Amino acid sequence: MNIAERNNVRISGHGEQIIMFAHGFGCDQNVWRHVKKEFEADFKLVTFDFVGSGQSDISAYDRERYATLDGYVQDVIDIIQALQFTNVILVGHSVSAMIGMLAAKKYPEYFKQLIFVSPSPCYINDGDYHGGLDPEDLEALLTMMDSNYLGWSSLLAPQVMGNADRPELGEELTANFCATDPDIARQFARVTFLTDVRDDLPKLTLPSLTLQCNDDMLAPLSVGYYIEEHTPGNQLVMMNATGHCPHLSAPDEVILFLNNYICKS
Amino acid sequence: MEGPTIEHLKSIYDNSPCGLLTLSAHGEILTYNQTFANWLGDDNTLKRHSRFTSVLSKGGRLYFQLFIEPMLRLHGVVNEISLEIETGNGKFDCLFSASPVPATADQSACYNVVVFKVTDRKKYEAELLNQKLLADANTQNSREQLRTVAFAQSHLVRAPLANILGLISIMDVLDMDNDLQQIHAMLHESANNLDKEIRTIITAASHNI
Repeated sequence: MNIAERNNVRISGHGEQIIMFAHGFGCDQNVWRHVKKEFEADFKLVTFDFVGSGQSDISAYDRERYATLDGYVQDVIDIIQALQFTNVILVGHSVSAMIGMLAAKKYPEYFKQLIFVSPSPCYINDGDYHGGLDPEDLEALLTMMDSNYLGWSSLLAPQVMGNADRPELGEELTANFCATDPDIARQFARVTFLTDVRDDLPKLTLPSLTLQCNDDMLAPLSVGYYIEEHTPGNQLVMMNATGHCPHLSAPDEVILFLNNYICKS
Repeated sequence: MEGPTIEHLKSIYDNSPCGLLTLSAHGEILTYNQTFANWLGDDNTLKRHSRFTSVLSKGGRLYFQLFIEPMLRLHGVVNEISLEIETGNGKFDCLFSASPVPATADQSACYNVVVFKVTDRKKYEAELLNQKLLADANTQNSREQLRTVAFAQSHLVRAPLANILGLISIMDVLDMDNDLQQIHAMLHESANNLDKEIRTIITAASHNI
């Protein structure tokens, strides 16, 4: 199977240095549109959809392969190998930050540095570790997702954005945001929120940057500190942005910190 | 026909059969109507700049951060999201829809929000979902049963049949008069037909499993 097609890989930009953006749970590569624009001139930009998300080839979804995070890690590795990328700067949001970390642990020679946006190595509270969720919270989230499958369908019909000052959003956006198959979404939710890769953090050999938001239920401050403490070469940056998706709610701030980090090295 | 008067609009706003709110781009409540205030009850401590998510269940708050916020940022609208709102004395199910209000000279961009109570509709949905889960479980059970039957058939029935076929072929080498030979030939044919039929049944059963 053609990997670039399977993962709906999009390449843009005029530079040599590759920045690869990995979307988080519940989204697809469209979430990077505001942030990546700023880097078009000087970098080669790669975005993609994990199998089962966005406009990836849904027939490639295999319940067994994607029953753990390793299946998603393999997506990243497959893309890098198929397209022969080197020296990759990988920007991962939420669970994809850890997917990137695991890919870099497996093949450090493919990567230059990692950037974690609202990351968490483990979402469930565990003794002194405050991940942010109790097990019943995950069940509550899955129940919400079950109730809103039809809600997603209402977004499948193309909708006029009504953004007179952002016409490009109306043109480019496909209507497929969050239009994942609900069974796949459910399984991806379980895989994501039952992840525990805390033990892998100390083994990372590449430099990394964490962009930490305020008031993020899914990646609270305590988790940002935990990652900094347990990951060699990790730098933690506190942003003013709130919530779980700063690349959407505060793209300028994300761009600023990305720029500083990428360009100073 | 003349448009509504200011008094009329105020009345519509506060007496609507739905909650009407405006939220800032960051999800803070800027305004809410009397209907919504009534739903929240007398102990309502909601005030301007409270987070809308503060009135949601934990699952709802997670869903808001994970899905609704990104959808609003990317699409500007969300329609008919099912949420559960917690009040001072209970909770209720609602549908949440939001549409964008562009920035003006006096006001940053924000969202108009409509909240409908959907208690009865929710019961219907829950019933539908239950029925679906039951139907799925029944299908799964039937599959298991078919699998068991096919297995039983293939082993329990075929063993004695294999014996019969074997005995019939032993008879081949025996000395038989004409009558016996005819009976032997008919036995052989019937046994073979039975074997064929059983194989057909088992194959059909495996395809249906």
